[in-house]
Amino acid sequence: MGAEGGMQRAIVLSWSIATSGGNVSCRVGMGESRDGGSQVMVAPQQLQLPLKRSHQNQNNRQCSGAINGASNSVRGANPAMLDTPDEFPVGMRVLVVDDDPTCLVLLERMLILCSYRVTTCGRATDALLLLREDIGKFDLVISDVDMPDMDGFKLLELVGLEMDLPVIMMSGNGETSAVMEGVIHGACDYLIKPVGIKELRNVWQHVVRKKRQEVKAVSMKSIEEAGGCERQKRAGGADDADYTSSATDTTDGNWKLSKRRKGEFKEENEDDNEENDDPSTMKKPRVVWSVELHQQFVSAVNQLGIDKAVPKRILELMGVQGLTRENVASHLQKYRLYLKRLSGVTNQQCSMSAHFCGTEPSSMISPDMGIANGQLTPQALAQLHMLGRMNSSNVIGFSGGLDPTLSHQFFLQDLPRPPHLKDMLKNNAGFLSSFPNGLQHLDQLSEPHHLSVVNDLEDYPTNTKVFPQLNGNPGMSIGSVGIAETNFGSNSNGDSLLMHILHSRAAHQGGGSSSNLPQPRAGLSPSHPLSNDINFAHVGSLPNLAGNLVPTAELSSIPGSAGGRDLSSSVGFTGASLSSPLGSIVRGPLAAEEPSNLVNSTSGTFSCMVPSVQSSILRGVALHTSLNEGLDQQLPMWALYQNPVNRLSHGNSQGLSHDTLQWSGLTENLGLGDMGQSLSAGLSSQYSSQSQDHGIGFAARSQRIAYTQQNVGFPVSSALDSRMVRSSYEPEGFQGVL
Amino acid sequence: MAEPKVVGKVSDAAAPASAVQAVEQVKVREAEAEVKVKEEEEEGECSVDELLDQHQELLDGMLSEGYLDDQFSQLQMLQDESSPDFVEEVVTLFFDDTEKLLENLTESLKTDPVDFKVVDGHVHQFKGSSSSIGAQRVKNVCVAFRHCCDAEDKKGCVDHLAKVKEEFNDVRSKLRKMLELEKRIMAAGGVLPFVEC
Repeated sequence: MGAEGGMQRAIVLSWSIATSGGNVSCRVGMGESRDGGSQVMVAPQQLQLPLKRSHQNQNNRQCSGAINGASNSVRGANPAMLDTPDEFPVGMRVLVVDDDPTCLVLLERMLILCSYRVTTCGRATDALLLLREDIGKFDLVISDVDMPDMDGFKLLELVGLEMDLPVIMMSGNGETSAVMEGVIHGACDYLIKPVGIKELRNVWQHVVRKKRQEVKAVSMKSIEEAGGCERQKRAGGADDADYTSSATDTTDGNWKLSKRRKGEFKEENEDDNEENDDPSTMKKPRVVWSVELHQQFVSAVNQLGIDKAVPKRILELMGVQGLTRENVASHLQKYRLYLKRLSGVTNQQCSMSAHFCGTEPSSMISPDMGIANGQLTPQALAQLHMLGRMNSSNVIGFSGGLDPTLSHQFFLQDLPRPPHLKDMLKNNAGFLSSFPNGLQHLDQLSEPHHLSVVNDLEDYPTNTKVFPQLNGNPGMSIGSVGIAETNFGSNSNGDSLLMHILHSRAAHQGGGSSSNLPQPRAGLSPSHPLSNDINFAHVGSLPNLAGNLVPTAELSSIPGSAGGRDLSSSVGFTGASLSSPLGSIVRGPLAAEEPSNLVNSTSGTFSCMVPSVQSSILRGVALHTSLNEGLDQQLPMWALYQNPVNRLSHGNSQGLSHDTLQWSGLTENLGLGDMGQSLSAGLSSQYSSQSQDHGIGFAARSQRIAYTQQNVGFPVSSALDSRMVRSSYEPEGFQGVL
Repeated sequence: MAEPKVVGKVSDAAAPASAVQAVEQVKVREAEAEVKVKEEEEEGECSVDELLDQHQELLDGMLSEGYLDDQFSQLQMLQDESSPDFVEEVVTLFFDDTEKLLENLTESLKTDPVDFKVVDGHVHQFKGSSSSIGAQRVKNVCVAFRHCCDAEDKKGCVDHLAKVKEEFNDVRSKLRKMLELEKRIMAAGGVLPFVEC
């Protein structure tokens, strides 16, 4: 309920923001009288809520769940919905965390006077519990920095990662270094104590801002569908954010994901250009590492050789105007980290499985999930896998054998996502339902292995960035027919896979053309329409999977709709990169069509590039699907991975039959266009053993993009996600869509 | 009030010798009562005004002498009819919390060796809460106290602990007095000047 409310709210907000130029429409839940006698009156004309002071949390350091009636009631009935949309920020729900009771009471009072609905917590751990209990319960978090049970920055990170809420930090320490810490950790603002009411009056701006970013992200996808390159750009930017993530090595695997989810476009771009928080650097104009740009970068690096690639030479090779050596240098740094990560990441499936297991299907489909650009993120794939495996109720009833990409999707989905996205996910539930069918096909197709693989995944910690491990599974090009040969064994595979996917996607995007995906890598079968929500739905349940799946499979989310991401892309990836445990899984779904491009992690490591992979991978996937077309005989990544595709056969189009259709459609909706189809196709092929019907004519599409087997020069580091993946292969006919 | 007394007395007294005497007695009582009432009335009126004056004087004094700063004034502005006792609540909370904190602080300085990080933690918190309340002098001592912690100067810490306790007691007694005045003012029907309407 909470989630729903959150979703609704989110939707409303998003919509409002988008349409009314900044006015967030929210409904304020009517408050009920609370034990403490506090009431929340939500009267539109009242800016000041005549709340009676609740004495509940005075003198106690526990979380006062509902200082004022509004909070409680909101929880129950109308999470985050304001009755008076026009009255925003009236009723905005704020969670305040501070171990000092005096400060807490003061803040509470001030916030109430600002007409917000306040909940206070004396401990960070309590706050986290509250937040985790219902992601959509709050709009904003204000937290003290120095707390005994948990460092405020740690809380900040976790909240940002898991819930993607704006967080404001407070401290008596106003030194630049302290404030900088806050900024680095992602705080929206940093207040110096003692805090005055004036400072609190406008905190709503952070909520609006975030919503706008998200809305923009979603709408960007729509635009991209139309063929804009923006998405790629953003994806690139987003990818960079991922780089940053990996660079900073956040402890929480979800961080990347959440990073992706949130400012994907904006923030990531920002990250991209922020080099070590150097203020001077931050002021430089941002370079958006679009898919294409990244592709060029990767090509250049490949040409030079990763070891010998120096920024200067790379810059020369790239020949991009306006790009500075510093831009390249920082990007290279991130890329290297990414690669390192890929090779180093083994079982990050982590928490994902656990995480996903419990997710609702609807929530699983998070447009956000790694679907930055409507692409299925590897995580999503991973999730899908898990989903299949888990066959949990959360999942769409997969019966094992989840397409890795799906897993990714799911994974991605399951990753923290903005509440409003949940809503979107819901919308796409439809897809999800179709998905299972497809998956069932998969079942048939896939070997029992899959299931077992999935099981393994479970062991993976959820919530991790699951990055495909490129190393180790030579020949694991999942689904990448061509790629099969490519050195999946090394990370490079994964990389290429990813790249492929990216490329394909890009190409696809670029012109709906049937660019040939440079590499049929990894099975990102872009054709999986699944991507969009469906995938995600599953993703959740495949936490582990995600880990193993090549994150590259980012499926582009379906623009407009709740982020339907192209599973295919991710699928492709996942397939490819599945490391041993996953490998089998991957094998299946990816089907052949998409070359194991997706499988960037030939090594089998599954990198959940959830965050970054998303866009790029999806892109790649998209392309991939197109590639599928040309890859008839390409084995699905999965197949490649372990049992040669033969099993899977599907050439490239076996779509998932009607299901696939849906997916394809999705992808199209997403603007994946062909890509989507390819993706779907990819997926379908995997799932339905022989249905020629890709659902949406994947086959046809896939043909369009011919994959060229690329050598993924680099291991695609999960961290980099799709972005990185792109690099290795040279897209053909790629219009640099990426 | 006077009347019942008078009546009572009149009735208590054994039947006056004569009706005239009784009436006289009643009159006297009444007069007395009236005077009393008048006195009371006068007191009441003066009280509110007086109280208000006293209150203002105390507050101004605390502000000018640095016991309190602008943060306290802002705090006062958070009180209104929906939260009529806000200032008192917060201030009381501060007092209670500080007492515990001071106990902890004292204990932490008694350990051997002294863990200055722990001490600093307490002082940091105290600094935060005192600044939120607007207890400026207390906060200033906390700032100096922290320097002693950084320098790991045990003697300095002990000295500052004594100082901070002293300052805290000072501001606490003044604030308590002020709150008391406020209560009386409100009981007498007066309205506190700082309260936002």
